[in-house]
Amino acid sequence: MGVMNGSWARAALPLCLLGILDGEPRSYGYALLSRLAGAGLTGVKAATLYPALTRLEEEGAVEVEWGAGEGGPGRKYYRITEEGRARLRRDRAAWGDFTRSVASLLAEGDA
Amino acid sequence: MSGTRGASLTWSREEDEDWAATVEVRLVLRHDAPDGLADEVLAEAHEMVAEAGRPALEVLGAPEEYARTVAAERIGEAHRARVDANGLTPGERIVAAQVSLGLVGLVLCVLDWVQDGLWAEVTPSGAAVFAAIVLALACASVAVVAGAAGRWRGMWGFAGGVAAALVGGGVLAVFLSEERLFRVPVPVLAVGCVAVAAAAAALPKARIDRWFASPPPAGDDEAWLARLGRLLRGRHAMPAAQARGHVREARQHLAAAPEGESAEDAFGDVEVYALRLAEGPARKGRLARRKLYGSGAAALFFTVLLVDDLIAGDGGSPFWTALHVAVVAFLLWAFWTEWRELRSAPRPPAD
Repeated sequence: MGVMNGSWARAALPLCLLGILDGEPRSYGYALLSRLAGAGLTGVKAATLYPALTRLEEEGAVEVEWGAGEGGPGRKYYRITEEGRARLRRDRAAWGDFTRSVASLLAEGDA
Repeated sequence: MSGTRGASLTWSREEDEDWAATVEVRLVLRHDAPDGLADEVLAEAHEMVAEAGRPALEVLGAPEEYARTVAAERIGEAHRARVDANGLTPGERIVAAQVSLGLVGLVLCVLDWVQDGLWAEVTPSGAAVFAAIVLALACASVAVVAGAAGRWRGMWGFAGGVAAALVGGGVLAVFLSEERLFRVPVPVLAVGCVAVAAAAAALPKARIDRWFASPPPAGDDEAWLARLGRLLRGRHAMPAAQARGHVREARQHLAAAPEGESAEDAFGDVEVYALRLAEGPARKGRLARRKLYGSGAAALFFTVLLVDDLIAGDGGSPFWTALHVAVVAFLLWAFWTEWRELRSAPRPPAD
């Protein structure tokens, strides 16, 4: 996968985070960052990730719990809530519409 | 762009004028827009509305939403990260506080002139108490600004200055004579207050801002993390437990990150990062809560003074008593209004 434009990655970050968290019981910041980078979203940095998680928490889309760290300070885990799942369903559909619209415009340009 | 550009625009419809005024007020008061941005935005809007030949509301939408969009797109994080809840940088806040001190002194001089005549008697103990109160208020205002900017060493230093001024003034008041030294016309004191306000207005705001914004030493992660916690609590009114949670999470990230990655490498400028963490929907509630506590403390303080004054019944001037009652009534009203505002704000998550 090519390197994605940084501002696109930031805009899609909440949706990506909810998507990852929907597939896991819980996760923490560094692991989420690694998952994003592994998927090609290398433009996302810690300086953007944690504020996005904080906002999702304040919006009720994720909840937080503290667990033991591995030889370091306690670890903050994030878990998606029912509200977060509902938002994910809505945003996933909207994202699909959006990408289809962009793709059709780009296809017109190629034709 | 010149500051007069927005003011010199002529809108063809009255409703467009209202629209423009709402955008301007929203940008300046709610979104802390830097100088010149509101003028620039209104000039562009004026051009679009003139070209379209339709009302601004139809062309550009609701003014509140338009101001919000402009703020999100055009007010940089670096600016928003350095201003407090009132949209003032530390330098502007200190200057505003000292100017206010001078103007309050001016008002008190005028009231004293009206009430007690042209001449004021100066005694050594009275002068000491007056100087101590002025010094304490000046130090208190700087302490508050330093606390809000996450400069806690400075905050405690100036708070110590407040205590020293009050204790020193009290001691001097006991030991110094209460006999009259000389008489001075009250207008002279009023001019002195104006001079204080004018001198405060000339303070170098940019230099003061640089002192408050100086970053932690390069590579010192503990200093960076400590500053982050203080900014979250001081500038962004975050509860201590929540701020500690963010600092702990940042520390946890650094522990997992590749060796050699510093806090500044990972998270960037500490003031901007603190802003990003604090900008969520709970921000409004946190700031409203802080404002409520301030109003509550002021209302309690002045109410206790008023009750004490009324119980003592020492025959004080009815004018000053009426003024005191008016101040208490205003503070109680402010407290009630802010309490209602807080109830309507989103609650922060439990951390």
